[in-house]
Amino acid sequence: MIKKINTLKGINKKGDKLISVYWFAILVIVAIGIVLMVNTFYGENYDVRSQEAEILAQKVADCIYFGGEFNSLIVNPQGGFREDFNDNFLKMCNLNFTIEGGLERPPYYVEVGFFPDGDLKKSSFTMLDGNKNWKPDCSVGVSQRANLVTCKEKEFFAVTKSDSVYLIKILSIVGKIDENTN
Amino acid sequence: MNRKGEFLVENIVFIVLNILYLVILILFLLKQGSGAIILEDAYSKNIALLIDSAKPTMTIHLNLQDLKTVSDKNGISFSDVLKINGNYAIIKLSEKGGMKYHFFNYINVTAYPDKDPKYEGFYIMTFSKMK
Amino acid sequence: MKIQIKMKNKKGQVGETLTWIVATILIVIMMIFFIFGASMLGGTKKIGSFRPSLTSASSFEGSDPFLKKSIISYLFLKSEPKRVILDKTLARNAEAGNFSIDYNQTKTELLMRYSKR
Repeated sequence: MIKKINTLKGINKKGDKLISVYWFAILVIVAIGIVLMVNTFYGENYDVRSQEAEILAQKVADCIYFGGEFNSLIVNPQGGFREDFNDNFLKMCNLNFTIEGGLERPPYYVEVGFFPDGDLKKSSFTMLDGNKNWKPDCSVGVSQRANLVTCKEKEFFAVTKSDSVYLIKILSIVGKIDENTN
Repeated sequence: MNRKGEFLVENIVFIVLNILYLVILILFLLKQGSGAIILEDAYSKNIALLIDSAKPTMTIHLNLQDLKTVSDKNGISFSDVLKINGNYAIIKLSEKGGMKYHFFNYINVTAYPDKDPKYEGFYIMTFSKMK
Repeated sequence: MKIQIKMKNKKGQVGETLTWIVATILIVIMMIFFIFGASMLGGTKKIGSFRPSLTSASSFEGSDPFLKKSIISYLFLKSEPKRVILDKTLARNAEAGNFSIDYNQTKTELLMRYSKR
């Protein structure tokens, strides 16, 4: 009488091969997942346009009004605004919006409005320079802003030598969409 | 008796392979985090913003030791890491790499590595009025 | 007489396979969530948050030069009625949270600084 018993080990060998296939598949899935996560995270560009627009607005504000006094190139002795400042606004404020060697439009826009006595209904003087086409993008809702320009609106009160108060509103826009978004 | 020996060896091999797998993944993660492209992006923008905020007669001492480590590995001379050209701040950490970011400040910028051995990996930026 | 006893463990193998399939599906779903989370986190990257920054956070936050300009204008105004109006306007803006620093504290500091002149 011969008894042949197939041991558990004999049958388990098939089971072991099946399990290692699944284990290998999971390792591959996890590795692919981690690579995708890392590439997604590190692939996104840093977006510095918010700080850039803030710096631009501050620079313009300092150029117009500093230490409690208007820039003498903006305001004439009679207390009115000089039109020629608007024409040379960028140069007088040490700003350069031009992309050298390129035909593309400037990646910035600045608009400054002067409102006497803080009355927003009447602007006595406006200065602007840069790419005007971006202004409508500022009114787009936050959820749709992903690949649009960054806008900053800043305002402050200024007083002339003749004791006239002006509300000065500065709108600064920075484009550079490709360099800051994916 | 044999079964016990095979059981132990199998498990040890399994654990060692898993550890190796995790180590490879972690090294990959760390390599990506300090990659040349990310550093070029971050530093070119940071430096452009610094230049935007600067005024004539200012001097800025920049710590670029992180960049020096990567540029040395990629065979780029430290004096070529940061260049200011035509209103662009350019950071280059590899032969085929490089990132530039435009700044709007109309100012004359000079950037050069600090020769002081105490400040290896530092750059000096000086600003003057544009003529 | 030959007796062969075969031990069949097929039920156990099927059980193991099912477990692995479910585990694989769960892992794939988790991976999708993590990848989605990574792309969300990537959008919040700021220089200075995940990278050593060349400038400190207070370079861009923690001061309000526009408020300071407004307060200096208030201090330089000669007409008292205009000062009152401006003060009220600024206080209203401060209540609305339009300033990133404390209005009253900044006003006090600037008042002290300019009264020493």
